[in-house]
Amino acid sequence: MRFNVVLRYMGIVMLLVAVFLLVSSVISLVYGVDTGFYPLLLSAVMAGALGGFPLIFVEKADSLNIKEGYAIVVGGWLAACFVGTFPYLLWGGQFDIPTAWFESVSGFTTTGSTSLSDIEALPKSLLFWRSCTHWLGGVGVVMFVLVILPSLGRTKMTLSSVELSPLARENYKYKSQKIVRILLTLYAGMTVSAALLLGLCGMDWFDAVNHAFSCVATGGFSTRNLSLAYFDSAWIEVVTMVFMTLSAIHFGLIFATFTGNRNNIFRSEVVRFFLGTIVVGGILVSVNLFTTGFYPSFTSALRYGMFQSVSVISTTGFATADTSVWPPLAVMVLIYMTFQCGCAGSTSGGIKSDRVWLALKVLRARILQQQHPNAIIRVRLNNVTQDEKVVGFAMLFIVIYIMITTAGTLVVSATGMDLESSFTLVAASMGNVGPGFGQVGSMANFSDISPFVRFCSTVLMLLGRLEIFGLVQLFLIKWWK
Amino acid sequence: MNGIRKKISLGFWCLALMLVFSGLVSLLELRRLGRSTGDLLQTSTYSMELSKRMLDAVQEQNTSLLQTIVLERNSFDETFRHGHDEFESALGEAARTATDRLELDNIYTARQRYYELVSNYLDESMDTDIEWFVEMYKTSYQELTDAIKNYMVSSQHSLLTSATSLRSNAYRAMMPGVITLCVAIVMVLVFAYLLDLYYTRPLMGINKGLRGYITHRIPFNVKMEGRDEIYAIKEGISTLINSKRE
Repeated sequence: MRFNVVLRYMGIVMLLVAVFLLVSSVISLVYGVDTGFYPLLLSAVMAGALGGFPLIFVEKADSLNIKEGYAIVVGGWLAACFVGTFPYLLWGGQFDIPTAWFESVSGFTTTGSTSLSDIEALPKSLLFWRSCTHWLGGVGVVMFVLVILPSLGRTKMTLSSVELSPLARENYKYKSQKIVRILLTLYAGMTVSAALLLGLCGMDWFDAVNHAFSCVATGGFSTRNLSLAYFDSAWIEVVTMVFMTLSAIHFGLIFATFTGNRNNIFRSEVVRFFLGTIVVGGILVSVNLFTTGFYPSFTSALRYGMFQSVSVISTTGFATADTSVWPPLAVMVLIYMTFQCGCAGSTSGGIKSDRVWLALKVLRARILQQQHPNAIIRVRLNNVTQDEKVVGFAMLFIVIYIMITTAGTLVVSATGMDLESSFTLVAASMGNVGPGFGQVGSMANFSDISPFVRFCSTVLMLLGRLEIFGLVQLFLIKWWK
Repeated sequence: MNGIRKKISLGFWCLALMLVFSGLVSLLELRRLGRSTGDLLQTSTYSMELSKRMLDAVQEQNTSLLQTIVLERNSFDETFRHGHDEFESALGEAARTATDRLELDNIYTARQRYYELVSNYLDESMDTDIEWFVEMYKTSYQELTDAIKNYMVSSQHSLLTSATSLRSNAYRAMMPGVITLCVAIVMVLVFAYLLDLYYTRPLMGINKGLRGYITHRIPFNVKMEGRDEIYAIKEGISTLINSKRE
């Protein structure tokens, strides 16, 4: 492994972070040099120095191997999280080291949990930086960086194969370089559209841009303490729901749909399964809320039930209601959604609908196999026979995901937190959803949670974002040789 | 960027700038912390001084009023007017620098009542004397002095809170210096690694390759990163060996 090459690419990630820090400091200038200006500018200088340093020595590489790809993605993500804490720590206020680290990791992994008790006390420039961490995290820092690299033409797309789940790769029918362009064009286009529509729905333009960043990245950071509940607008909720759903669908399929390709979202089994889960789950939650008398009319039950369902399954985590006090059935449906989440190839986290759908298909195949022992039964997805390795890896991923969730719950509950809060905190962190239930509910924050639990939560967020194996490989020294 | 000199110089310049930057930031932050502590102490001393001036001025007016009652004069003497002016001046300054508006408002209310009572005494009730003094005036006087004392205590309390928060947040004031230093340390480590990779190892490789060739005629084949002067040396040696062989 060429560590110098890894350093060069990590440096480029740092430079990109520095650019966004600089943009945030410009936002501070726009708002009359608020208190975030100096911390953001200083952070931009430091991130720029850190990023630019390896570029002095290391020349661009023509190709990368898979190990270098892993190292760049994981290292880039960790470095971005590390540098992301600078403006928070320099600003001070509610930020101490654990809070700043939590906020930064939560931002870059697009989880959206916060440990701030008063978000509105932050200057606008720092709020913008928070949203930027989501936006950067959503597109995948490394993926984004590759576009601006002149060496892209010859560099193998090893990074994208790490950043996107293997299933997403299977679904792509384009060349890797094109994937990056598609992803970015779609991502930027969706962000602009979401901001415009939210602004037209009555949201302040600053809030609209921040919420658009958060929504398209399926993050969940809001500029308000009450999240989207602050705006109390059905139109804003509808627009947000549409973009949350879109952002949780395979970006390549959305592009294919726009360009009139046959392989579009309407023909994808996985997307149908994902949308079906939203409809069925959302209606179940709404009916449960209405019948238990939580909301006086079915319309309002549907409004809040559907919004929270989409928010959770897309792993965004915006809130319009306190789901912690909802009846058990609604809570259980939302917990299930915390695990399933969106589609591979999107910015959402969790197990992913693709793997869950594949698991159901494998289950069906095994039952059929028992009925017809001599038959050759293959697992097919979108009329394509799935390779045994892909199927095996998907099943292994689900098992490990559940094992880590169980182990995480054990560790967190050992600190004295109640079972509901511990379990949902771990599940929501692993799935990059954000809010759980109980102490970590949709209207609560992590400010009262101990620094140790918050640190565990950040580890889980990184595990979830890097699809478990990405982060695990970092600690296997033998693997690097 | 190909030249060794350019690369190493730039690397050192970056490091030097970062260290200077880190030093400057630490210095600025320490100065800021020192200034905050100084301001805190100054505010504390000043608020105590103002409270003392107000109490003295009220005391002065009180003595003058007593003399007026005892001597049965129909106007206040110079001492009262001086006390009044002194009190108003101190109160005005306190209003400009006040940290606790509530306690200051209490002084204003008590002062209003006090002056109303005193001016009423001059206007209409010259013969109510001691009885009036004990029952009406003393209560109002007490109210005013209590308000001033409360203001003094509350100022000290708020200063204590600020001092406590300053102490607990001291590490935050040092954070810019700490972060810059951390960044500089990371850069030093990266610099050391890159110098080793691009300059030390290639030079050692060339040395080893040359020795191997000279003593055992092992072909001179050295692999290295970068295309700088060291690479040119290696290429030159290879050419020399090849030409000698021919």
